[in-house]
Amino acid sequence: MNDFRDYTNYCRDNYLAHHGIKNQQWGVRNGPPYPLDKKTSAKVKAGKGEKRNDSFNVGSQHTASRTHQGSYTVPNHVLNEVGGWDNFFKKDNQFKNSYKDNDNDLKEVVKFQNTGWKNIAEFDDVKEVIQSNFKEGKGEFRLRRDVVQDIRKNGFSNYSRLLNEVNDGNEHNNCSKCSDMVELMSRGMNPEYFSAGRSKFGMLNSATQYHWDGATVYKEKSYSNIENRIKKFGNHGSGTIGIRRADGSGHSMHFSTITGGKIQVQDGQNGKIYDTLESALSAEGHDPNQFCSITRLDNATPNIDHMIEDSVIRTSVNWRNGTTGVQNMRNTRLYNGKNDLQVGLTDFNRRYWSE
Amino acid sequence: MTNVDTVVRNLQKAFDNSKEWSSNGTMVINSVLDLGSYYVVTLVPKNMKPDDFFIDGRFKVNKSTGKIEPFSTDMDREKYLKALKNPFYVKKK
Repeated sequence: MNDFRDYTNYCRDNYLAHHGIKNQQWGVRNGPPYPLDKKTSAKVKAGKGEKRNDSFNVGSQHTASRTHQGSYTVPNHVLNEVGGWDNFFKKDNQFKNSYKDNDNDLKEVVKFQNTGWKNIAEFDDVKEVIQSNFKEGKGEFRLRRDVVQDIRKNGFSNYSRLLNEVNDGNEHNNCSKCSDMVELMSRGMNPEYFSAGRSKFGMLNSATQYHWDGATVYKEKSYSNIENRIKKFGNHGSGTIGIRRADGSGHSMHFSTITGGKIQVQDGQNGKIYDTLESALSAEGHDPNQFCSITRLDNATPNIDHMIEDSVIRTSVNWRNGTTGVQNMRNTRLYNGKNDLQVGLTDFNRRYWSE
Repeated sequence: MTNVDTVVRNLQKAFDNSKEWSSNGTMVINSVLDLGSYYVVTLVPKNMKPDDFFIDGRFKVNKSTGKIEPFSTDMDREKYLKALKNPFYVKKK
């Protein structure tokens, strides 16, 4: 009996989880998640006829976990200095915690990750941020998450180029679709721009609630009432705000509550960013005597099927990265009872490495 | 001087034949703004409730040719905001 206990304790304490990558071959330890051996890598590359992208060397960091200790993402050079995983786990908690994956933070991002959609990390300005941080030895994986968190915390101020990708700059009666796209982007996804005209719903509330499961709609009149309503969503809240002009037309923009209790409004149609609610509404000609429609989206789930049906996003072809995006997404995402996306850390890591 | 009623009647006829807007039921012209060389015409669904938020519905109509063009941001925004306060035509309620 004691032997069995010793054995289970041994398994628990010395278990080192490693997962492979797509197309990884049994016994081949050259390349991610294993360190790349420069001498032999040339032969492998020549054989496959592939060119390695050195600017994003996915083999430069390792991920490991022990079931009772959590998971860690450690850059290779740190691992070499320490002398391997065994020595790493012997280090004190202060050292280890700097490389520890925060599961809660990851779940937030992982929730909306998928393989088919172009990742925001592929944009030039985001790449610059990632690469500069990468030089500091942090690693791409951790930093891509930071980019998403940065957008959730501080809005699109640092990523205006990203916002400009939503639309081609002209208005096509597609403001509600553009607002949806901005919300998707703030969650780390970037579906291809789809300028297929207006939603099949002429009414803003119907369109947004059709595209998002669990979206709540509020109607408020004065600036102060609108601000108070949005501030009730708490930090990093987001959604769309619909305005009405005196000529009967309407417009939809995306808003987010950013650090410091401020409200930033982003217009996905023309890529404009407004630092105050009032400036956004007056710039779009909102009639102060009319109601504003506020739809909360930060706690809502995108309804992919409805978005495809209403041409917010494309179906399966012609994605920016040339993959069959939504189909992949539908196949890879896992549902829990609440129809929510739920993907494990390991699953996310595997997909990250295979990109 | 252009007869407002004639302009609105002709535009309404053109939009009635447009299939793009049929999903919202019958569309009616809510307002016409004068922006110099063209009008900005706003359509709304006939049965729109007061608290509904209709998404856009604006068109440009060239004054000289009468051609209907899609509304776009290349127009003078300030001119448009100014015209909003003093519309050329507003549907009677």
